[in-house]
Amino acid sequence: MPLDDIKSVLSFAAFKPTPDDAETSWGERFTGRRSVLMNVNRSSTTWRALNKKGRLQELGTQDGEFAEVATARAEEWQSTTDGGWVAVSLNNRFIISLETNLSRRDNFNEMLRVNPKVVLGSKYDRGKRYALFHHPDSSASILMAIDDSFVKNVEDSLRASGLKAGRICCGLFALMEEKLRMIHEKNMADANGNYLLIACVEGSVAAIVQQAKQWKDMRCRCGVGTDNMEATFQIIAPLVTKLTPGTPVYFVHDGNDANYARQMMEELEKVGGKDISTEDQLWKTIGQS
Amino acid sequence: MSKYLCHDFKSPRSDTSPRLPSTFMAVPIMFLISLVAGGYFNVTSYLDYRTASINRDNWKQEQASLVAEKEKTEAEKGVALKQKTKAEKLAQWVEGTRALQPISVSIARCLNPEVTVGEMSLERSLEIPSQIIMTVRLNNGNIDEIGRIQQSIGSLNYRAYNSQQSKAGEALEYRTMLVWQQM
Repeated sequence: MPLDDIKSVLSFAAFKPTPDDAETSWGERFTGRRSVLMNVNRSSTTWRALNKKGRLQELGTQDGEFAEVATARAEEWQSTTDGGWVAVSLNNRFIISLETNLSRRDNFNEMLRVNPKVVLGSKYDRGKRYALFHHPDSSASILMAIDDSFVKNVEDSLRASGLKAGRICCGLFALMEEKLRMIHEKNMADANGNYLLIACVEGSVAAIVQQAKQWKDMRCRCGVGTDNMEATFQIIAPLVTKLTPGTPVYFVHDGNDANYARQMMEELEKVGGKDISTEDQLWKTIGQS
Repeated sequence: MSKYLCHDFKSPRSDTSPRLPSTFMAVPIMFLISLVAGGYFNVTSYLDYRTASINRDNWKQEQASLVAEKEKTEAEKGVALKQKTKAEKLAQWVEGTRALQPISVSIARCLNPEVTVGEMSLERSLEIPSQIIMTVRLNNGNIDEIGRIQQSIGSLNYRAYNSQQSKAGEALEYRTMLVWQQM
C-alpha cells in the first residue's frame, strides 16, 4: 500500500471530499481553502475568487476567447486558489429544453456523467453533455445539453494554464434548478399551480411556465447579450402573453449587472414580476451549493 | 428546504479514488486512540518504573541499614549474653561463697557438752565454691554425734556427700563434702 494512502487515512484526508467530488457541495469541498469561480461567455469571461472564509472577492472580467483569457489570467488565478481548483459556469453553446418521461433512477446525475444514454435513451447525442432537473409532481423534466467540444476546450485551456476544474456547470441551468426547487418547496405557485420563472445570466436567458401544476412551455437562448433588451423580451414575450392574470412571475439573475436587472424588472413589474435573486446569486449558486 | 447541489458535467477523472465511507473512520480513530493510549501507558509505566526504582533503592538502603543495625544489635546481644553468662557464673560463685561460720556454729551447738571438737576444717573447692570439704575430729564422740552434725548441717540446706568416719582411739574423725542446696 503506498505511503500516501496510509497517510491520507490516518490524517482523515481520505474521508474528506476531494476537490472534484461532484457529489459534494463546493462550500463543503473548499472549507478553509481558496478557489476561483468563473463564468465563461462566448466572448468574455467573468470571475470572482473565494477566500479561505468563503467570502467573494472583487469581480474580474476580460473580453476574448476563454483560451486567451485563461492564458492571460493564469498566474492571477493560480495565486488566488489553493491547488489551482476552479468552478466554471459555461454560458454558451447550450440549450435547455422541456422533456417528458426521462429516467428518474436514484443516481441519474451520476449516470448522466458516465453513461447518459441510460437516462436519456433516444434523446442522447454523443456530442453533448447533459444536466437534468425533474418536475417533482409530474413526468416533465428540463434538460440542458451543452457541446462536448466546448467543455473539452475549456478543460484543455484550464489544464494548459495550470488550473484544475473542480466543477463545470451551466450557471443559467443551475439558477433555474435552485429557484424551481425553491418555488416547489415553498409552494410559491398560485392556487392553480401557475407561475413563470425567468432566469438570466450574463446575456443568456431561459424561461419556463407552469400552468395547472404542469410545466407547459419553456424557452431558452444563450448569448443574447445584455445590451439588447429587446431580443431578451422577445424570447420571454410568448410565455408572458399566455399567462392568466395574477400568475406569479419570478425573475432571477446573476447579480453582476444591476442596470440589466433593473431594466428587466421595469418590464416584468408590468405583469407583477418579482425579483427572487439574492446578492451575488450566480457566484453563490456555483460557489456554495 | 432541502439543500441544492449544483450539477456537474466535467470530464470524469480516472486517477482518483472515491473517498472512503465514514464508517471506515473507525480505523484511524482506533489507531490514534491506541497511539494516545500507548503513549499514555508508556509515560505512566516509565514514571511508575522510575518511582519503583527510587523506592527499590530506598528500600535497599533501608535494608542495608537495618542489616547493619541488626548485626550491631546481634553483636551487642552477644556481648550482653557473654556478660550475662559471666554474671550468672559470678552469681553462682557468689551464691556458693556463703559464710562458713553458721556451719561451725551449728555443729558446735548440736554436740553434747562432754564432746569436744579437737579439730575442725572447712575447705572450699576452688573450682566449685559451693562444695566444701569438711573435716571434724571429735573427742569422746560417737556415731550419734555424727547424726546430729548431719542433721544440723541439713537444716542449713547443706547435704553431705562421700561421708567418711574413722575412729582413732578416743577421737572420731568425720570427713564429708558439703554441697549447698539452693532449694
